Amino acid sequence: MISDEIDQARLLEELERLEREILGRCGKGTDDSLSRGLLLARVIPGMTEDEWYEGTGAAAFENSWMAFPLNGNKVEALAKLNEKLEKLAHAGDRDYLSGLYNRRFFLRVLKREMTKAEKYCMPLALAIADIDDFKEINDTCGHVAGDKIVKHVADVFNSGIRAGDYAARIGGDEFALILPAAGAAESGTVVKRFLERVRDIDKQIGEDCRLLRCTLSLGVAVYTGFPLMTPEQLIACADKELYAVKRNGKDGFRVTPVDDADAAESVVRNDEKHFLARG
Amino acid sequence: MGKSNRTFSLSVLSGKGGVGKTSLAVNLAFGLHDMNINTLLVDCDLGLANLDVMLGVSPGKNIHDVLKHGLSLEETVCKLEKRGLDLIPSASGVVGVPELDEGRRLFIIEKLNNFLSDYRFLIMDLGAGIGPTVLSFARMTHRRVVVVTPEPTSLTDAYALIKVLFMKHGVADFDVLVNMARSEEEAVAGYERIRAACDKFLGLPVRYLGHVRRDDMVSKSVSRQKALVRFAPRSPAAEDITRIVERLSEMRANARDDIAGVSPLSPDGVG
Repeated sequence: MISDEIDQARLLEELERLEREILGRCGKGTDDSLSRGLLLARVIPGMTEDEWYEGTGAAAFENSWMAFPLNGNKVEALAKLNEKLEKLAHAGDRDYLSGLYNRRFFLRVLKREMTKAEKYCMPLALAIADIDDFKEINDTCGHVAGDKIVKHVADVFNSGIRAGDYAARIGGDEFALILPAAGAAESGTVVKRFLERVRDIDKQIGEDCRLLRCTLSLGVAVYTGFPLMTPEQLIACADKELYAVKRNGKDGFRVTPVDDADAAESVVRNDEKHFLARG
Repeated sequence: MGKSNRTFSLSVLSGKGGVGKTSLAVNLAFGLHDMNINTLLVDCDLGLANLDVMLGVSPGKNIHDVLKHGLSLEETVCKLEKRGLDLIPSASGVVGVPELDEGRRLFIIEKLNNFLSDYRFLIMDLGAGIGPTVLSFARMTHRRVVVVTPEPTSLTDAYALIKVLFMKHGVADFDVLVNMARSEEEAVAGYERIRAACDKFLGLPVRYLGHVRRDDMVSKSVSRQKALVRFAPRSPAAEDITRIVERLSEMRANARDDIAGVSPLSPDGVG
């Protein structure tokens, strides 16, 4: 996150400014009255100010507090800060190329949102998206162009994602959307909009490479808490729909509810069913 | 709450569709009205609402107007009788709202709770199955009537519904009503299977509310868009329904002290 080319002097200056600001806010000057003071700061990667104030996910982060001595040796403090930031960057929640959430964060949120869906009887839509003919793009235009397309698609998700929803890149050209409280109809409206915007993105991806089309295929599974599923099983449900779209000519989406018939089927075990049938 | 609650709430459920749940909800409401018990019937089957069709009324407004356009419940109420029997309809075939999110549910619950004091009975006709909206409304009412037919598939689906409400939501209070029974013996045998399964696998006692005999007059009354208890009050099914209504009235009388301190619909569930 902080690399060598960042100007250390400017950073030091910034830290000093920050220190003055903090001391000013707690009503103290930079005199020695606070020479034993300690600033506790916390870095939460991937979280915007709005999200922080809405209180979402605050509980999901641990072990990211850092102590920064207010009147200590700035250089030494900076070294420690640097080290901590590197660690956090390494263990961060964002995907470096796309700026979307990464797979690990996605799995964590999916698990949490599934539990919420079970507990509060809310639907939860999971969409898995895949760039159509991505291998061809890579093969004919090169990997740089491929990365560019991934970035373009990610930007569509990033700019269009609603508050409270999550967009992640979970594979090379594979994306996932988590839409809490969205049922089949609502999630259909949301993913349709993304499909349309992806069709509109800039297809000039290199000086001599212009794509004929750039489209997505999308599979959506709507979870309602029954039958109880693991995140992997729900992903498999969405994947199944995604493959069906691929088979049917790509550039589209399919939504499947994890419906009542299936649910009743799996809620009642075989021994219970036989008992009910035979009396 | 301020004053003590006198509204007894009942949800009418079924594990699967086509067991006559909505028709029963309508007839129970008319039956209660005939005993001079002020009753409100609410159509909570948001995806496939058809209470209005069943009753031949054409409501101007419905529950979606409350959600979408901020109407009050008073503005949506449809009078089924001059006094003491009202319906809050839901829109049929509205795409996109078969499931309510938590916020909307709580919004409706709060409105209903404030609106109910004039009624002595609230009957909520819920959709079939074990979707989230059904589950969350079902756990909020004082009692639950599970409608089954003697067929094994109906028994299995009803058992699934009871199991989920009990295991996941701590709801332990169920009254089973066997509909479309050829005889009392068949009804009791069907009920006995559910009772035994709940006892054996869940350790949960359930109650027998009664049975309603299979009767051609039921479908005739539906096609004439009249409640059976009005259309053919002497028919076997109407007689059975009247007996069940008397039981419900007793049930409310016995629960009077228990419900005095709780809202008709409790958002946290009864479990």
